[in-house]
Amino acid sequence: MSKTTIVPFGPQHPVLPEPIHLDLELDDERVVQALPSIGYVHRGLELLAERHNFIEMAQVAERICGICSFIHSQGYCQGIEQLLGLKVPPRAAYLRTMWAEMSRIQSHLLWLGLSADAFGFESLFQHSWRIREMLVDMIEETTGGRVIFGTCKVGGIRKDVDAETLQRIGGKIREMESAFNEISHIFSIDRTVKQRTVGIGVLTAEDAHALGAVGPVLRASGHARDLRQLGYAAYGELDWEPIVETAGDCYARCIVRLREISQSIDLIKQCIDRMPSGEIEVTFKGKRPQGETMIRLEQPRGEVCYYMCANGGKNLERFRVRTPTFANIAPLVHMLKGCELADVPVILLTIDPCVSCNER
Amino acid sequence: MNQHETFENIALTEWVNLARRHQAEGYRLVQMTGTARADYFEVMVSFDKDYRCANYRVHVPRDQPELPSLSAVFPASFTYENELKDLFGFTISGLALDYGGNFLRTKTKIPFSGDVTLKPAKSKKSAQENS
Amino acid sequence: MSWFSISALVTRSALNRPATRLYPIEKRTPYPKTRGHIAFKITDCTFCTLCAVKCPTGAIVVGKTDNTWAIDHGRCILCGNCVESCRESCISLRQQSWHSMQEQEVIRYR
Repeated sequence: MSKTTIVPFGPQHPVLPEPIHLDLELDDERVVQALPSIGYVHRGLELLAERHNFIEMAQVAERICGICSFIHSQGYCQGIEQLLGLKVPPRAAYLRTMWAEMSRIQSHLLWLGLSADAFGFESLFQHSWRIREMLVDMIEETTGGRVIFGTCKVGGIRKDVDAETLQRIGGKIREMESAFNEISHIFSIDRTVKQRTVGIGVLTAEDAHALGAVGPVLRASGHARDLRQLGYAAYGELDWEPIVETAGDCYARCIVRLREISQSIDLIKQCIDRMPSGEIEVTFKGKRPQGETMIRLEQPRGEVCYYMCANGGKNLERFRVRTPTFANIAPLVHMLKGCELADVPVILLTIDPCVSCNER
Repeated sequence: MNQHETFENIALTEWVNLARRHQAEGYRLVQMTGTARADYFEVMVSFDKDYRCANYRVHVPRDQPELPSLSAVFPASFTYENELKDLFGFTISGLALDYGGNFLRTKTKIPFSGDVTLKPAKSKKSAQENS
Repeated sequence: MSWFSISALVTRSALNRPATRLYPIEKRTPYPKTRGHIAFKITDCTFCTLCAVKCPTGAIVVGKTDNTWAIDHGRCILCGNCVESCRESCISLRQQSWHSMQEQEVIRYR
């Protein structure tokens, strides 16, 4: 056995501006073992929930992550609504679904750009982000913010979207779809993309299950598991199926995300077409959350869990978030074993790491 | 909307058996989390099958924070167990991949193991104070 | 021929106008809903402090005794709670974003 070398990777690495540190134990060019460490940007958000009013906390929950921001506030609000025994009006549920899907598309497009950048395909990176910009504009038009939507609140949503704007968004999303289809085609056939991703970082179906992978990583390994099937918000009333690929390599994960963007575009169109009219929020004057709950949602990166425990006070007693990236660290460490040093950034990116999310 | 979750308190001796039983039934590990309470640590574990989540809680005494590892049953548990180890100072026996307290790089070692004081008051810093 | 699609796209992009703007010179008109900054009109204010209580970040400070109203735009997260809570509707949300700041600025009205 030859001597192994240890190469540090991160927390500042050109390929990904995320504070994760990997100690790569190398035998020549091959990774023997990867030792991850996180914890650079812990923010104490869970403790903050114990000190803040439960209504105000929805705005803090939205700031757990800057990319899946809306889904975090949606999950938090759903949890509180369950503790209070509220039922959100259908219009609010549909609008929440629409925004959650917009947030999924923008996250996946961001990821496509970053992964193209990671395997050195600059022009594809620029074109992905150009399409993302169209979507971010739509988010701004409907909510008023580009990153922080700020529209979710306990009991419903804060601001309604008028019919005219919805029509306009419907037109814009079709425009975006045709631009996206072109990019999608390039991602699925281009030789540069294939050479860097096909057969790299294979995660078998058994390993994915045993290691607790979530989200696109799990679905790329052949498990049809998407928490939107729980039917929260309006997902129970829309027509869709989880997207599954079987190869389990980096290319399959890329294809899952591409197909999920098309699916999300379709879901947004369905939401706009079937948008019910009526109230956008329910009032709960004077009620305080009581009891405990575990809420799970599907984020662009996978399953997110919120554990909430309340004792009838105005603050939560305990708030805990398990973000999808944390669950995907175990599969990542497994996939990195035995890969080439040059493939480490690509494999790391295909789990779509959002390390800062981990550090609540 | 109910997400079919159940919460159950179990004894520490049941910990590994419970996981083994769930593993055999085809459950997967969702998460494992610790909380520091005034006189004990509370560890909660969640298993999921067919979108149904079962949550179990165990109480670990503060003076002897020991927890048998589930990593032989669920390989996914090693990240959560390393987190418990780094944040609360748990001794996890039989941990498959032990990062020896280097998984979470915190400034103070085992930061969450201190005394628990409940402070409901919130201190708002005003704009004038800082200007 | 897998390179053909990307080449066609890149050529088309090269021949067309850029997708970006020359920012400080050319500014996009904001959407009607854009949360730009909080504007305040002191003439109708009764100094009830409701906005300061509702503010989640403590960006607004109201002096009940000396009739002052102050906002720190660096702390404001543009949630709009103050706009909703104001009974005299003297707080409004504007589309234009606040200028970038070199240091903390607290705008005081009296």
